[in-house]
Amino acid sequence: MNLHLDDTSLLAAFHNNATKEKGYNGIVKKYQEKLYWHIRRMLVSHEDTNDVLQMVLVKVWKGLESFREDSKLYTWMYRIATNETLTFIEKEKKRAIVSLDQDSDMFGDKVKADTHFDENQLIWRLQLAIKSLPEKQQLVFNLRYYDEMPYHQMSELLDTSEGALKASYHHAAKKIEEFIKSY
Amino acid sequence: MHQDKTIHEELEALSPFWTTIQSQMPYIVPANYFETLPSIVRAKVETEAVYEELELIAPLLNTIPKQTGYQIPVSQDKVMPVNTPVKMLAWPKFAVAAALIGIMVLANYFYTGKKESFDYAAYIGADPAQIIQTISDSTLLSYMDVHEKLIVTPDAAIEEYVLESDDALMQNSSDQELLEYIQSSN
Repeated sequence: MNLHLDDTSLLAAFHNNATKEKGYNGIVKKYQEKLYWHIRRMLVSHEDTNDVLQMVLVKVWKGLESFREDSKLYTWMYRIATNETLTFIEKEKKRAIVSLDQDSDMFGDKVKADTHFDENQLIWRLQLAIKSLPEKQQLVFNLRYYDEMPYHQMSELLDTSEGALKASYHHAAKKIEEFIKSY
Repeated sequence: MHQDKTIHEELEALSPFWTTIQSQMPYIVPANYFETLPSIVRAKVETEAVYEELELIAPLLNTIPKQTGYQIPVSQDKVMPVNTPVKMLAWPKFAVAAALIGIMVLANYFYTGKKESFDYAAYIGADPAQIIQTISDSTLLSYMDVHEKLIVTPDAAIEEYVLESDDALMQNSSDQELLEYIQSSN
C-alpha cells in the first residue's frame, strides 16, 4: 500500500472487505511514527509508548468501522492517542500514590534514566523542562513545537479555543526558558 | 529549525533564547520498530477479537489461563535423541509381523482346505433316492429337526388347521370314538 495515498483512498480501501487489511496497514504506516512521537514525548519510555501505541492502533481498527469523516483521520487518531496517553499517566500517578512515591518527579526521573541522557546537552535539558509542566500544557507545547500543528487543528483535537491554546503555549515557552536558564 | 516559519518567528518573538535550541528529539527508537509494528498490531487485533467473542458467549472461559495443563517430561528433550534409532528398529518388527501373518494364512489354507474338499463330481447325475437310502433314519430325522422349515414341498404343504364345531365333531365321530373320548376326558 502506497504510504502517500490520501486519507480518503486509505479509508475507501479499509471499507472494502477485499482491501480492508491493506487499507488499515496503509493508515498505520502513514501515521504510526507521528503517533509514536506524540505519545513518547509524554511518556518518555519506549516500553510505555509501545504499549499505549498498540492500544491506540487497536482502537483505531475498531473505530474505523464507524469513523465519520466529519473530522480529519489524522486529528481523530491524535485524539485517541492523546486520551490513551492521559489515561496512562493518570494510572501511573495513582500507582505512585499507592506506592507512597508521589513526591518523586516520575517522568523527569524517566528522562534521566534514559541511557543516552546527558544533562550538559540542551536538548536533554529541554526534555526535563517540558516534563516539569502540567500534562495539558506539555501537550500544547509538544503539538505546536514538535508537530508544528496549526492552532485551529489543535483546537479541534483538544476541544479548546485557539486563544486559550496560544496563551497556554506562550506560557509554557516562558516557563521552559526559565527552567533551562536556572538549571 | 522548524519547517513552519510562523512557529519559529513566534518563539523568536517570545525570546531570543529559542534560537539556540534545536527542535529534535534525543530519544532513540529500537531498530526495525516501525517495520514490525503493523503486523504486531494486527495480531493484537485478532487476539482481542477472540477475547471479545468469548466474552459474549462464555465469559468464564476468559478467566481461565490458556494453558493446556499437559506437560512434557523434563527429561524428554534429552531422552528423545537417544531413542531416535527407533526408525532403524522398525523394519525388523514389520518383517516379523509379516512372516507371522504369512504362516497363519498358509496354516489356515492347508488345514481348512482339506476339511472343505468335496467330491462334487461324484454326485452329478446321481439318483437322490439311492443316496437317501445310504443315510440312516436317525441321521435323516435329526437333519429334518434342524431344517424343518426348509423342507416344504407342494405335497407336504401343511393345510391351515380349522377347528370343527362341537356339532360337526359329534356327527363325524362314531359312537365308539365318542365313548373313548368321554373315558379319556374323565
